[in-house]
Amino acid sequence: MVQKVSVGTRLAKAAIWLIVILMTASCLLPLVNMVAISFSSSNAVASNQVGLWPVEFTATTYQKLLNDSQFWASFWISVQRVVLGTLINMFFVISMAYPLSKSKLRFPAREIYIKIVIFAMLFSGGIIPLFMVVSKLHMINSIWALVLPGAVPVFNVILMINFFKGVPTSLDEAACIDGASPLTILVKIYLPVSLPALATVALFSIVNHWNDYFSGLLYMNKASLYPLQTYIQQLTVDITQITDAEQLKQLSTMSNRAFNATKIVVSTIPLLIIYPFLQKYFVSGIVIGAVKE
Amino acid sequence: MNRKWLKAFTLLAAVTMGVMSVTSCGNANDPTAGMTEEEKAAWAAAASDPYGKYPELVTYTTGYNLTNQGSDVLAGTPYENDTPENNAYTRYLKELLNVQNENAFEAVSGPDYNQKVSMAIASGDIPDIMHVADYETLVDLVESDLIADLTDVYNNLACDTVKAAYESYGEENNPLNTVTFDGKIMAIPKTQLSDGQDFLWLRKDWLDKLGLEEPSTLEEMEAVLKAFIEQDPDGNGQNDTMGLVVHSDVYGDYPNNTFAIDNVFTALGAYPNIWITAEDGSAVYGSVQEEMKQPLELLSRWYQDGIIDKEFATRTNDDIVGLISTGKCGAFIGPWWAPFNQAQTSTYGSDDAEWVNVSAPVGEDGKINAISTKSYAGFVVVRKDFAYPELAMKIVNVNSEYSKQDKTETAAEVKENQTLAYFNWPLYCEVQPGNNAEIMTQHVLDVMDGKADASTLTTEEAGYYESAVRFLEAEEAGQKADAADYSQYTARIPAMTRMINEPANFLVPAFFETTDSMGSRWASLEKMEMETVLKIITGEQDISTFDTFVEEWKKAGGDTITEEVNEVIAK
Repeated sequence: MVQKVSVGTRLAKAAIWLIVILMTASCLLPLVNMVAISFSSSNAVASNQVGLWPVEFTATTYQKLLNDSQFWASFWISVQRVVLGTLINMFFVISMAYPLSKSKLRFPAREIYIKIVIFAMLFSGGIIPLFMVVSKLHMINSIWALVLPGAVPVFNVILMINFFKGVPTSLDEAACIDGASPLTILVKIYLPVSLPALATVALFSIVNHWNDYFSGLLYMNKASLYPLQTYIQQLTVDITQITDAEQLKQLSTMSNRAFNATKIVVSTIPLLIIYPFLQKYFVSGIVIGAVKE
Repeated sequence: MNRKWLKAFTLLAAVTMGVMSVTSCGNANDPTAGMTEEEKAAWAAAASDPYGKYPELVTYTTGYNLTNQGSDVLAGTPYENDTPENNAYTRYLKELLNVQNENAFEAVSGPDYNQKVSMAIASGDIPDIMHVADYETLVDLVESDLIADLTDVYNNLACDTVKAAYESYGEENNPLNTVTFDGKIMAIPKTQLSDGQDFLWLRKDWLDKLGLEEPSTLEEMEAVLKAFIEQDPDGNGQNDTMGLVVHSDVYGDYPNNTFAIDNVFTALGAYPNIWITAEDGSAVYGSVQEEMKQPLELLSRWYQDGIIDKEFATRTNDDIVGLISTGKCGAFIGPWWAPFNQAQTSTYGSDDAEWVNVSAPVGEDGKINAISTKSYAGFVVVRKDFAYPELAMKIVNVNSEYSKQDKTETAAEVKENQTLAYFNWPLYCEVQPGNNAEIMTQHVLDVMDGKADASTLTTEEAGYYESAVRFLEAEEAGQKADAADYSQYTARIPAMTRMINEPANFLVPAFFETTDSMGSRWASLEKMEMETVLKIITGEQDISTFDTFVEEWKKAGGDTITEEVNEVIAK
């Protein structure tokens, strides 16, 4: 009897492992393929021979990349955008989530604000109105167009509200009795105990800003001002269906897929570097031990 | 405190707006105000000459079409610091006409560029001169009265090459018809070269090895494909070769959709995916006609016999290229420029493949039945109230005529950039006669045969001639030519020669554009169509399904759309 149950459990476990492994593979394999392509000769790539391991290993595309001035210009714009955008996001997330995490008694208008926030999360103005607002505010072609329209990430605010709610009120009260102002309480008490949540939200912001190509395409009217992902997106636009002689000329000198893969691989490196640094904050239970019941 | 800030802000806003309105007033002024008579005369002369140079620099705002290549193609050339506002083309135009573009937006031509155009229109702030890609946008611009009437500009300033090029499309298909609204020319149409017919591209080295003749009819084509499968044409002793690769879309976008097999349908009198004129004179959709049954039955049998790729329905374009370039397949259907496809260039380099374009499968009269493409491929429009509307026409003149005949040092940069192909001409509008590709090949052939001197070639033709010479020299020396030279030579010389010598029957579709109901219904109708076609070919369902499909197609909006199409044509 006991064994039968354990067989079932084992099977279930095996199934779960299988699903997890399959999901991991489906995320990982395209990346591995991309890396393999970037290290393969362009002939092997063109004839679709590259799977998960480079064919005719070469690193010439990486050497070539050093010469591509626009790639590095775009890279720098993306870095600026991530730094600026994440700082702005964090400022708004924290300053909005803190008051909204207080009870109705201490903040009577809370419900109204929450509703506004949720409304903004569910409904948006659409691309054209958004574009017109940004354009009328003369932000087109400036870095502000990339960071200000998404300055308040509503989803992250709600995440933070819920985390702040979980902070024991006794901490708040104790600090209050010691004469701390609300701002001091936020900075000295709430933020230090919320590091895991802050790290998560910051990571969301960073990834979001780094990976977003669309706002670059929409708000940047000069190709020289494109952030990195927009620059990469436009390289991979499909022109396999030639429609005029102009494009025929382009095709004859088309830069190869191996080189584009190199650009994509290099563009993922910054995120791969940042991730481990933030991961150490993802350890839960930091709040535990702050209060003795 | 709050009040004070509000006041200060309002004041600031008011001042800013004031300043802005002052500056915009300055722009709207008549450019000739405050000029002497002499200056006025100089400006007037410049404005009425197809190549007149302006007395002072004229700056125009525009949308710039980019290519989707990395700027790395410029690295190491003298042009590596060029920008879309300062490159060989813009410098040339500045030198010639004293004009300078200021890009209101730049984007890769295609969806990205089109989105920028719609954003500009939506925000009511269009550049002085711009290229718009589709007809709907042009109609929008005309109806919302945002663009200038170019009738006089065209009549007075269009150069002879441009005028002759438009006329070469014939009265019915003249691109100017499309841009004429109430008798007024509202845009300068960019021409779409006639792309010619699709050919059956075969490995000549395989044909020779198996001792086969070039096929012509459907039956002969079938025999060759069978031999390619069964008789081990690559000589490796393994049964690893296949017949014909087929695009997963089967047909459509004639002839630009390489690997699609429209020709098999047209050989049997069916014209899928286009609007054709029925016997009673009305327009009907080709894919739902009785004629479709015969080719579908044939393809179904070919699929059963393995003559067409068994996995075609799930293959991507890259997969097909892979099959050909690894030497597993030696037959596909494609246009004359197929040698530019990686599928060919890589087999040329690695496999000693020799590709030849064959006129097959032919219809009853021994010719390929082909479909004409539309005569226009975009439009140049000028903002209403722009002070120099003639500028658009002049740039098109330079792009289409002057630069091609200019053999001076000034044009050298432009010529070099044509092969680099990183930047496009501003306005992205070259006007050429429909058979320009054939004409250019004819000129190059004349030089190669010694009938004409190389100096008679235009700059573009000279480029092709040089490629051909380099290719032939390399081959003669027993070496492999550069892949780019291989493509240029094979497409422009032998393939094009066949296109000239083996003319096809061309059917002009009754209608090219879209109608109102298509927006909501066409995508699902096309999906339904393609599903039925795939099911019949793969044998999942038999040919009787076709009749059910036609009924459903008509009910699901096909009839409404057909009516709309006929209404638009009747207008």
